[in-house]
Amino acid sequence: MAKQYQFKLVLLGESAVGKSSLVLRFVKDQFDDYRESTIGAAFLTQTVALDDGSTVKFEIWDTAGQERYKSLAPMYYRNANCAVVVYDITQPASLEKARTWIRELQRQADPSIVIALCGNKLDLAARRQVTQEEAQKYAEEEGLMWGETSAKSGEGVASIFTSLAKKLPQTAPPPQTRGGGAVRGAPGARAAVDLNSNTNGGQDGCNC
Amino acid sequence: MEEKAAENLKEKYDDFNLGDGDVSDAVRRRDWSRLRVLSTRAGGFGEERNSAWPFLLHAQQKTSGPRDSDSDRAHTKLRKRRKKIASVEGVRGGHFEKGYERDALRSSSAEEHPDERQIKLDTDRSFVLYPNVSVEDHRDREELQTELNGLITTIFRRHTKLNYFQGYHDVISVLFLTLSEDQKLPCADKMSLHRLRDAMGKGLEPLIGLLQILKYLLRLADPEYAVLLERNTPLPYFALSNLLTLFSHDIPTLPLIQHIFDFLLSRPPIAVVYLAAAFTLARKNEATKMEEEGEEGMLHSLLSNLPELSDGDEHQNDEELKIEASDDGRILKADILVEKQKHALEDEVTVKVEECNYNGPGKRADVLSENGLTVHDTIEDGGSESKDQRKIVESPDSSDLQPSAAVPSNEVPQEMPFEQKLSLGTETPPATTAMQSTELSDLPSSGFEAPSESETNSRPASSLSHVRPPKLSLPYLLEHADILFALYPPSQPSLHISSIIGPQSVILTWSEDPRDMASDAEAEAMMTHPELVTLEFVDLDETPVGEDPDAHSGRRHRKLRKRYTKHFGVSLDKKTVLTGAVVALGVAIAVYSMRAKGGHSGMDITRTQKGLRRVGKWITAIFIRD
Repeated sequence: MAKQYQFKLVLLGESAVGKSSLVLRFVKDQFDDYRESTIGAAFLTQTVALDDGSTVKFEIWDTAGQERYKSLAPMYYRNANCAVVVYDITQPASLEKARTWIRELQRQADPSIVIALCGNKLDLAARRQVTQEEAQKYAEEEGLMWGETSAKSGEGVASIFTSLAKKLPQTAPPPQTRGGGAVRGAPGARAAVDLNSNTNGGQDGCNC
Repeated sequence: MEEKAAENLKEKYDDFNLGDGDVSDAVRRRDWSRLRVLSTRAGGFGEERNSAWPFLLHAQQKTSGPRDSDSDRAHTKLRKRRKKIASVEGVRGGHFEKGYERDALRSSSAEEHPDERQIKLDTDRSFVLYPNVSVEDHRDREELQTELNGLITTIFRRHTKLNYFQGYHDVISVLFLTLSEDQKLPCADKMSLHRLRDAMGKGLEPLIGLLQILKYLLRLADPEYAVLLERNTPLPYFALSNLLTLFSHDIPTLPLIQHIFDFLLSRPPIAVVYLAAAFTLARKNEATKMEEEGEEGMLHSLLSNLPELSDGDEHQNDEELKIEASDDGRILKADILVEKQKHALEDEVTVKVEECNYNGPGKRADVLSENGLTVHDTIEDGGSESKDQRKIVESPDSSDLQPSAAVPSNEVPQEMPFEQKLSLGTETPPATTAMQSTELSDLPSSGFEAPSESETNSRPASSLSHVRPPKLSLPYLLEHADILFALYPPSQPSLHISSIIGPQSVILTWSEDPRDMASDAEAEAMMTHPELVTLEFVDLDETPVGEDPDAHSGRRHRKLRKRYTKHFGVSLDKKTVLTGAVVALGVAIAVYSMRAKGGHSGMDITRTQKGLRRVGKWITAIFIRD
């Protein structure tokens, strides 16, 4: 039986850098030119299959970008195994904001948290204001994963999450493996998930 | 010319609804209780919102008042210039080029508000779900966005102490799409200053305060369910955007959110908490099921995405409801509510509802037939679309958007069989869509925010073959909210409102009588005292659900007083500290004393609000003079 892992992931970053779009691309392989702003937070899940046959299920908390929602963020990164901090390559200020988030994570989040810095809107590379060198250098200094993505074209999206998935099992606390069934009701308990029950049903079952 | 045509159009619609003059009649008589009753019937105020909302928002006589002189003139001037340009360039009236809009705003005398960048970011992604006419036409949408941006920017330049919050644009977009051109600004102004103000400070504290009240309300309404919810989330954060945006961020169609605004605007600001509770309680079965499946987070997903709603009467066809067909639909529904949700309220609900002076028997049937009549006179667009194509009430001078009459309770036939099967009275089917999603990579709408919901909603009936949660009746939910208000009015000590809500909160300063409200300037000045909007509340989470929290009240009050003084000592001088302490006491007295009065008349919203407001006014007087 292949190993199954389950990780909590939090998305952080300035408003309108494309956090929700990134998740939408990752989870549904879709892109909306018009995507509403996120208020509070949204929760989604996605499972990634790795080459070694193991699977990683991400429980994703997609947070609101506006400064005033900042005080809610700890609730979402508190027990996160990993964080994707997003900036917009056409907005230098958004990288500054990303640095602020990363500092906060380094201070406040679980020390084992794996952080990926993600430069989004690669499709707008013609209007690029943040160089790859600058961001990459910063990421290396801080020991972060780094990548550039375009939620619009899909470029780089899968790879950033897959890289996280690959890195996580080695660094994170012992992952949950598959259990016999749903765990009921106990506070904080999370069910092990039977990933096999739905893998052969095709896609049309819930294409809504 | 264009305005004239729009006016004709409006008159035409008025004619179509001869039997539907109740709302304007009630507005003329300034009859708030009647409006509250009308707001809960299927379709709400329908086409009469353009007269009802300005009245409810106290924005009625504002259009040419001397108070607004400067900025109103600037706004009007700006709009006139836009229109001129628009007509020259062949752009449809009322809209204008984006670049021009920016330039015009810049050249206006008002200074830029610090939040304008964020406002732009959000208005640039507004109108995602509606109006549907624009979905395929990006240019249409951009024009709307630009106009919305202009409206919001005008408000913030006018009231520089207000801070923008994400979601504010959702609220204003509902007013924007509903009201006539001359009403938009005055209504949005009043809405911001006297209803949304708490959320327009720097922080989230007022919102957290509402979440706490919601938590306590859920504990009262359904202790067992409250335990489940609190096990998963310390506060009902899933309702955050409901409370913050008055549901406008979450409701996928314009007619539905308009109806919700009918309900909320005819009630004091605290009503939104009761409505959020009604929504939450209605999903108990799904939530319980989901928790059993053991997915942390999925509960948030479930509850933060509202259920599919109907605004009609199809549930009256439901077998179960027919069994006990009574003269008064509300009592019947209250009974079903009790049965279905296994509330501990059984007897009380029925008794209280009888006391509520709701609309009389037979009203619903009238509404239905009125609406049936109206359907034929509705301007259709994109005819083959789904149920959410119930026509939008457009303001007369945005007639270029294919305005159409509201047909609030026009149910789409294709949905009927399915909905009948799964209407309110039936068992809630398992929330399988969401759970499938956790394992398939293909997450369905329930895992997403509103846009995906609209996707679901605009899907043709064929996609309904998936098992989905039942569609809930909005009028039912609204009435449930009223029932909750009757059972657990704000004076209810276990809600802790007097310890959470400060004297300068809209909860306390709002009034049905505009003469009793703070002026616009006073309201704006209140932004400088956030500590008087939300008190520093000591959450009694150590009190287990079910235990009488009052047993601890002595301890709590001591604690509270201590924290309160400490907090004030930091930021305010001695005089204010003293005043603050008096204020806190005053609020407590006012709120608690209402309990005695309201004891056997729980629905007396007006009286409740009066007590709250009296204190608020008194406090306002103290602090504005400071």
